[in-house]
Amino acid sequence: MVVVTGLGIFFIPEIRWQRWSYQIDEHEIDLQSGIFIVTRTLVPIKRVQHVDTRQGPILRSYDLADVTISTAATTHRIPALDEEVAGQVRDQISKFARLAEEDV
Amino acid sequence: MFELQRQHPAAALANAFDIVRANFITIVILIFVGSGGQEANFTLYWIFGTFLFLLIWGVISWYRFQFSVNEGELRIERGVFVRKKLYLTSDRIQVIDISAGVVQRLFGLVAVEVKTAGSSSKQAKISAISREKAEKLKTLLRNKSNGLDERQMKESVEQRKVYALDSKDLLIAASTSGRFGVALSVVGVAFSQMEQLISEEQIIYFVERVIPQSTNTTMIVMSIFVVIAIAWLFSFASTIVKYYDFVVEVRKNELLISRGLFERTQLTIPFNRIQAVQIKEELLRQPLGYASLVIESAGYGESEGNSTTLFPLLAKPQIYNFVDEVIPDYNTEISESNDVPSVALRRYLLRMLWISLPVILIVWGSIPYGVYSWFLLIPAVLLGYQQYRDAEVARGEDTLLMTFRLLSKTTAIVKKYRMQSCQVQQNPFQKRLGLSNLTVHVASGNQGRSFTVRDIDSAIATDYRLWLSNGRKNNLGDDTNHKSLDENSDHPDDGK
Repeated sequence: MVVVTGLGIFFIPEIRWQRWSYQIDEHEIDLQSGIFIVTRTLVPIKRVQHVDTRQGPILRSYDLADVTISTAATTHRIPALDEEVAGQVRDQISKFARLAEEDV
Repeated sequence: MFELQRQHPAAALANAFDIVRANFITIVILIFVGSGGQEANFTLYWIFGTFLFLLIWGVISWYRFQFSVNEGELRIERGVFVRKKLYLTSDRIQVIDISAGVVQRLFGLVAVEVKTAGSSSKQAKISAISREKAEKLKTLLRNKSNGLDERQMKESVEQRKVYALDSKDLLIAASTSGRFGVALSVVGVAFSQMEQLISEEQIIYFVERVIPQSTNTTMIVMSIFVVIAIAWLFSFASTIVKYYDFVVEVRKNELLISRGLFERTQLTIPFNRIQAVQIKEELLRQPLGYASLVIESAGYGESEGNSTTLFPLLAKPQIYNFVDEVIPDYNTEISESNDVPSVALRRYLLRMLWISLPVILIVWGSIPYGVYSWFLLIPAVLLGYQQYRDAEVARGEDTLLMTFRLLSKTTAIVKKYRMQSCQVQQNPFQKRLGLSNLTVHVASGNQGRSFTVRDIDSAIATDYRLWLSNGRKNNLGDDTNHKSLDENSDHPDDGK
């Protein structure tokens, strides 16, 4: 039991972190995550309604921030990026989104 | 142009009714529960008092509600305690609904509801104005091609296509309505409340007189039967009330749907707001060869889980004809279709097994004759098999078709450029078999809607995902960019 919990606390998050990847270009945002259940998500930039960075107290103490991407239908999160990187990602997406302006 | 003005005074009454209707179930329950042990008179006073209060509230909120139209902008000032000023520009207005409820019809008025993509629409509801004013308001707010629109409308009067649901189809739709399940649970609750109304002696008396030789089993079977019958009647009646005199009118840029027996509802849906179309073959309708059409549109719809019924009942051969005439964009030739591979069959069967097993075990353990619940396995497994048979993805030039079944077989038709995001998901069991789930999200109402086909071949899922994303690039119309991007994509392609 202890072993399993220990594994869960010390190793799984790291593997999960390793398995998280994202890619952003001027046409789409591509997210992939998951150890066992692998999810790959594609969000066309045109569909992005707004991008947030958010930071709770824990994240702030480590200078990290989440990036949240909202479309008309869904919300996607890129968790715990470096504060600076998060800001860059947010600005980048919003810049791409402005270029690809279109209705809903 | 509209000066700042109030609604017709009947709005007060309409508002009061709206509150009653919105909280109808709560009120009924309160009355049921509250009247226990009290005198009937007390309940009456209580109801009367509540309504009086609501009426006074309605009058005050009527007095405090003013609206005007200025340069294509609808301005509403409202709120009794908290003043709200609402400004809606016509560019952002997506749907204008004109409807007439019982109260409105009494005074020969209509209600106008203005909806935008995001805001909660109840905010911008003018609950009682005359029809002429409503029409004027509508033309003012559809200002983009104001004069033009009118001319076009007159021109196209003759080519305008109108589809109506005839009474035979209405009856079929009502008797096979999918609301049956919902009604069933409501009636179930109502039955559990019955004790409050009828005393036990009365029931026993009834049972002994009417069914003298009744054993325990026949009684249970009987009561189940009665509940089902009542639920069916409910769903029958509610469908008729809802879809009575259902008419779809195809205009130049929009669809006009009007329906309803007591309350005529009119929905205007611009074509460019349609996000996806669903063909639903409900469990009861499929054997008869019927289906219904549902459209998802951005910024419209709170009822019906963010989607709108485009047509409640169509015979299967007619469907594509209808789609072709009403929403021709969504009638594309399919160039490629992919079934679920046969290795997926066991996943479909097992899934239904896992879902049904707990129910069976609980029923088995808790109810006499619960052993018979094992017979539930047969329909469950059959359903699983049918789900496997039905699941399919297909594509045309710029259109994605996803066919899947939970209970009803649903075919979702999504335009590539309407997709909000898409997802390929794979768990370890699927990985071993080389399968993935494909999910596509489209905007619909406030939350959006997703369509998922389970356990399709991983390669195909990835192929579709790439196809969906490539479409975006081609859409922008520069091919060079698109190629260089493909080379550049260094993203680990573990989805395969």
